Amino acid sequence: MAEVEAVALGSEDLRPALARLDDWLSSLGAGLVGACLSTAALREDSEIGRRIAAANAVIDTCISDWPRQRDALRPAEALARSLDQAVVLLVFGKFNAGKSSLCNLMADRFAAHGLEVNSFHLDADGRLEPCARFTEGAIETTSRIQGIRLGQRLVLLDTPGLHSATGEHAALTRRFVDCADAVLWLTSSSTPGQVQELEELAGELRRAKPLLPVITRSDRYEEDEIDGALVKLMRNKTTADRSGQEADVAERARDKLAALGLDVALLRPPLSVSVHMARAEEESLAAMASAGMDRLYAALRALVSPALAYRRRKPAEVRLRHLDETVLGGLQALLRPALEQLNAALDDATAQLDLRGTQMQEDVWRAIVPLLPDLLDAHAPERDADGVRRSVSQALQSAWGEARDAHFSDYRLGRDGQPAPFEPAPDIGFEEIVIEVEGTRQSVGVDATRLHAALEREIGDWVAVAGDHAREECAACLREVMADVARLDAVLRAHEASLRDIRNDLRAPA
Amino acid sequence: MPEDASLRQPPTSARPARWHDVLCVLPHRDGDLARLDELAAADAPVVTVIGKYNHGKSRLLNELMRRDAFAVADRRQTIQLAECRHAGVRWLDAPGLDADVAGEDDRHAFRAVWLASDIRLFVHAAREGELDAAERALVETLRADSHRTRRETLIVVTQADQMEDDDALGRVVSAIADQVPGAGLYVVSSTRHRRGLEDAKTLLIQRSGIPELERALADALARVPAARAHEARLLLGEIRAELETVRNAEAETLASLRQQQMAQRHAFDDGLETLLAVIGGDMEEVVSRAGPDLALVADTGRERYATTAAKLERARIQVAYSRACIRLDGFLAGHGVSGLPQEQQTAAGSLNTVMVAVMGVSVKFRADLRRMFCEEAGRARLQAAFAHYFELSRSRAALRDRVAEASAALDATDRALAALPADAAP
Repeated sequence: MAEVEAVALGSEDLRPALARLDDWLSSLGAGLVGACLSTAALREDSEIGRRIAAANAVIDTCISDWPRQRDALRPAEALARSLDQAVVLLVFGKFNAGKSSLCNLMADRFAAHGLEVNSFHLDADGRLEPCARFTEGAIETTSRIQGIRLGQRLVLLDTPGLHSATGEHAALTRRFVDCADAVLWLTSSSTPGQVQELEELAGELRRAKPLLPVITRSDRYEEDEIDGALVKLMRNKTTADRSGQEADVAERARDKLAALGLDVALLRPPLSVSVHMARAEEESLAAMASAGMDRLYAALRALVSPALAYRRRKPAEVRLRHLDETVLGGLQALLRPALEQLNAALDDATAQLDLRGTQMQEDVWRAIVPLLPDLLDAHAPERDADGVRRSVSQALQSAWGEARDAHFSDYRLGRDGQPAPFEPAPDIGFEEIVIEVEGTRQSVGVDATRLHAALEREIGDWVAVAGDHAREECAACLREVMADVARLDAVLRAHEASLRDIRNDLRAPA
Repeated sequence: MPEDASLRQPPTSARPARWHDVLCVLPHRDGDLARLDELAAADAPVVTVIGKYNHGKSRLLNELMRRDAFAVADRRQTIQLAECRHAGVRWLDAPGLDADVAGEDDRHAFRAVWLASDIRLFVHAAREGELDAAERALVETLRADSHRTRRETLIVVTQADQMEDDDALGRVVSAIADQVPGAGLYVVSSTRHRRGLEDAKTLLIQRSGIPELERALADALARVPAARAHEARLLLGEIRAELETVRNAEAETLASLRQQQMAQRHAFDDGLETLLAVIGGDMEEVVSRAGPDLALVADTGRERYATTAAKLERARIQVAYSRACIRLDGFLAGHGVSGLPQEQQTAAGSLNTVMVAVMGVSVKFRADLRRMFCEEAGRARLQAAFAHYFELSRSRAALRDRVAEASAALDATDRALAALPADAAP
């Protein structure tokens, strides 16, 4: 305990790092605003249009949320300032892991050595409120963050279980855990090493905080029936049982850290304690030792120096974590899926273009060609081939409009010109049937076969050209949106990379 | 029943070929079908013990079997699914509930808890206090399953001896009882039971809670045959109902496609018949003029009048025939018999090819036109020939493919229904 009190707390100038983090955030904001997706190419009520609007809305929501999120960080920053002179250990574990009992025992031991001990809990603004010692129990008792200052240099921060039944506890805990410099992971000897709990700690461990697994409640009752009554006796678990559990927890925790992509060097050797047995014999030296408390003290001493490394850069780490998890993480969690869905919709639309184009051409063909017999009949008396072509042209325009609305209604077409009007060369017309009667040529009727064939050819050509034009126009619309998405993605990636750089510089040994 | 004292891995259920047809239609029912196989095997009832590791599952099994069949230690132990036969019951020790690093536990646990078990003993150590979120979720799921399949779940609070006193134990038990209202709780201590048996101490045996649990278990085992019969009926009934729902939807789809197919064909037939009647009426006027068919007479060696009349006749026929062809062409295009010019590579889609194939290329005379358009037989031939090409068109072929697809799906569902056993005992 004396050693802990003697720890020298250095500090370094973090102003340049904090300034870089501020710059990073303004650059991200400007980049996102500049890379909003354009809604010019597709209608708002199309699937792609809706997905574009959704992605833009995500950007707006995230950016407008930043000031509020920044305010939410202030209690944690306030707490960090008020605990500035101490090494803060996060006591983490399930509701029945014995967190409060261990904290109370350590408080009593420090007090027994004449050091000042203060219990506190945190109010919503991160201020310390003095309070009574912790309550202990087998059902969930801790509903707020409480802590104990042990002497001047050590603070234990006891949190409601991160994965407790009530989600609000977990949210509260996350607001303050940044202030911890190292983590004690308490895991009950009844089921030691529930490594899935470490998933909740991943955020802390990613900040290179050391992790000490403590197997608590390493004791058991022995019973016998003596003279018709049950007699109970509590004992420490045997050394063999303890080292078996410690080895198992070490192995499982190492595997879990590796599986989470975390540095396994953060893991300290697990140790077993029994607070119950330490309390026996009025906390005698022998009782403390066989309950595992000596080993715990030694491990805590060894934990202090790596914990100090984190403590020195804590203000910047708190801000960095906010930017990384809340700002960037929030964007990634919302924007990435939005962009993925948009890309999928774009791919679908691209894949459908050919089929849609062909159907559109066929619809026009099937609408126009059946009109030809009546048009030819109507204009035959005047031999007016141009009249037929004018009527075909009008019919084509309206059939084209209908087919376009049926197959390409999602697109804003015609932004760079309509398809050229139907104006074929008038070289083929109605054919007069002329016979020679007594030396003079005389018309006896009109044949439209060649004109009909020519019109079919001309309609076919026009539909083909106009169809290709529409298809290409739609493809251009889709490419426009894809380019927008790529630009936005690039902004996101660039800022992911630059935040990584800032983090690496911050953690690089001076 | 002879005892099979050896620990062994239960075989993983191979998916028998007889469910193949059902799985084709309802792939998500594979778990239920595998369970039906278990039921069909009619082996001894299965009691599965589930819970977090180190909550005393193996120890409890050993007490219930009166034998140290399962390994126990004060650390993670049961990783693999182990099975043991005793007293006409198959006992299964499921791997710990906890998500393991390797994730292999889950598969074994699924098999033990869902596929093989008739009765589940959900085990929770008293010292751990209340059930945690994961345990509560599992208990809820198990109780819902009990309600549905009548497979019973007994909640067993173990390691009662590891509580400070009866008050502490009572607080935990009542907290758990509040979490799972209406469930009977069995509070046991394997250690007391073992010690009581070894040293012949009746208080320890009595306070171990094991005798009570054994009685409850014996009652539950007696209900297993009825529960199994119920479950087989239930699963088969559910699967049959689901297949019938699928079948109805498929039959409806098929009927509507066939309806569409017929409606298109009727529209084509009626439209063509009307058009051919109109053309026939027009032709009548051309071909019914009095006198011989001058067009058949060669010009040479004819009187001038006759020559001129023949020319006039030929011109009139040309005009009438050409007009008929144009009208037919328009009709066929409207029904998709002809595709776009660039698609006319394929024989069926080519308008020219269709017209040529049906009408021929020869010069038509008065008699030809009368035969083709004015006589019933000629019109019927045209009707049939164009209908033939209508059926070859692209859109008709596409519709036929959809009909074939829907019909194949319906056949598959019928096969699946036929593959389901009719009664409750598969």
